[in-house]
Amino acid sequence: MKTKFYGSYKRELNNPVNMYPSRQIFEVDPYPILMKGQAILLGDIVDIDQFEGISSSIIGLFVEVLPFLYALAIIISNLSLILGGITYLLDEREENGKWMIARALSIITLFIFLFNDVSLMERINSTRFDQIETFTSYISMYLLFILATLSLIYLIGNCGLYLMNQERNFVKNIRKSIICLLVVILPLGNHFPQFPVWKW
Amino acid sequence: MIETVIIQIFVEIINIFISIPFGLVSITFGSIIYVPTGAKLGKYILIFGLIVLTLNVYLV
Repeated sequence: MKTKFYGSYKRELNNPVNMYPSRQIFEVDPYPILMKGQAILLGDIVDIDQFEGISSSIIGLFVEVLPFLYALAIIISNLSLILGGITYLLDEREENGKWMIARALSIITLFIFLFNDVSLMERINSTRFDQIETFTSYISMYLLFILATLSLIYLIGNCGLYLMNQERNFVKNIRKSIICLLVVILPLGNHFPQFPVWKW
Repeated sequence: MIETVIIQIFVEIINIFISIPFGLVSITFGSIIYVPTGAKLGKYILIFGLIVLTLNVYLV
């Protein structure tokens, strides 16, 4: 019932003229509330225009500010994932960069679960959010590819060194690079199917 | 009848205008602060946003 209200307005909101959803929603449809199989119109009970002054400012802040915060958060967490991975690869004692990787991975998985939620996405409902999401997925995919190639090069080089000269140090490096490759899989798996989609 | 309608209106207003915007904004802002540095302030902001969103799911 909650998701029904906003689903039908998506087509109209794809038009970039209708950037603020609140005004458009109240003009297009008088906001039906379903109760006991009977539709009651909100416009019959309350004067909607009284809410609009308060709500449009909050909704406008939400629609304009949130996509940029989201893009910043995704890009920063991917960058810190790369930096943590590189410091983890190059560190001798496997201490530095481990918590950086853990923080970035936890935030990325949280965002995957949060922003792939359908009911939440229908409430956000802005065209700019879709554009920014494709853009950030495009950028973060390339950032993750950097870490993947670096750890793959590290893995292959250390395998060769281990074949020539069997020391325990190389085994440790191989283990670290395999962990870095495993770290990349989860965020990359979310972004990989959207590879050709980026368009602005 | 009229009480349930009024409660419904309040629930929708809280849901759309307060809890989802502020929860999502605080989650994103907190993650921007928390991820690169590991600061405690960012962690608290993040936990606050998660609490707001979970309360929104369970109460409203």
